[in-house]
Amino acid sequence: MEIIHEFRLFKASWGIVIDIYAELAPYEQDTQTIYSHSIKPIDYKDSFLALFVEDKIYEDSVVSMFSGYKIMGIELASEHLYRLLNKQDHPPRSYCDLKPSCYNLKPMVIRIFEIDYNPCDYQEEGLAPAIAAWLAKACDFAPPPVNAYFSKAENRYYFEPEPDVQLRNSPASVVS
Amino acid sequence: MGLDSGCFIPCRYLDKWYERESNLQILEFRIDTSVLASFHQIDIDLLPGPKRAKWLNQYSKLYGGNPTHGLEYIQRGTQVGKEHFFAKLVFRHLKFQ
Repeated sequence: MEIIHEFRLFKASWGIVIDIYAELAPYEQDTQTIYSHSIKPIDYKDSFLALFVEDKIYEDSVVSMFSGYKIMGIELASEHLYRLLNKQDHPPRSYCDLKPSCYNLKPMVIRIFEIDYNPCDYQEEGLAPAIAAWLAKACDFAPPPVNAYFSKAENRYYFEPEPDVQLRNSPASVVS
Repeated sequence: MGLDSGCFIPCRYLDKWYERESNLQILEFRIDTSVLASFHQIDIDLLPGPKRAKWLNQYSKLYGGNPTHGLEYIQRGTQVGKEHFFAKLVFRHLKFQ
């Protein structure tokens, strides 16, 4: 099911406006075939989450940051899925706990259909918190806070590194 | 929507939009300064921060608002220069080249 998240960051006369259209679905054997025209920047073997984006998006420069392999919020989402799947309140004890193979489970696939933005209200760095906010909405957990400030002199936004955020408790309603 | 004079800002502005829509082109126009000054207008950048945010949230569709401001001319700074928005009612005053 497609989930739409409208990310808005506004601290000046212009802001960062990004709408993300994506779905979260189990990774199936034929997923790679179905999405053969897409890319897979996140290694699904090491995470509950794999990321696919449509060709048309990849060709757009907006996803060049994905090549950095770092999707803000991916660890939070993985941890959240781990807790839901294991019905545990405590965080995973080891990195292995976050691997679906530990539980003979299939990883989840985030398939991004479209990233819509206004070119004059956009900065590439905003994609990271936007994806994180989408993940939070799709997985039903509190989105990590966005630590950003606007430099009037440089007319651009700066983002602080992703904070070490503790996952908040939320209802186990997404993965069954 | 008009643009600042000179090429630098319009070219960057056009480049930004070209990424989304390759059929776009810039149409230049002139307008008498006295007519321009007579428009019911606002420069968003001149508003103090909280009022600016409130205004955009209330009237900008981009930020979830409803453009029922009734203004004829709006200026707003962006990442690539100033945007100038004109209401349809005043298009007759724009002299396209």
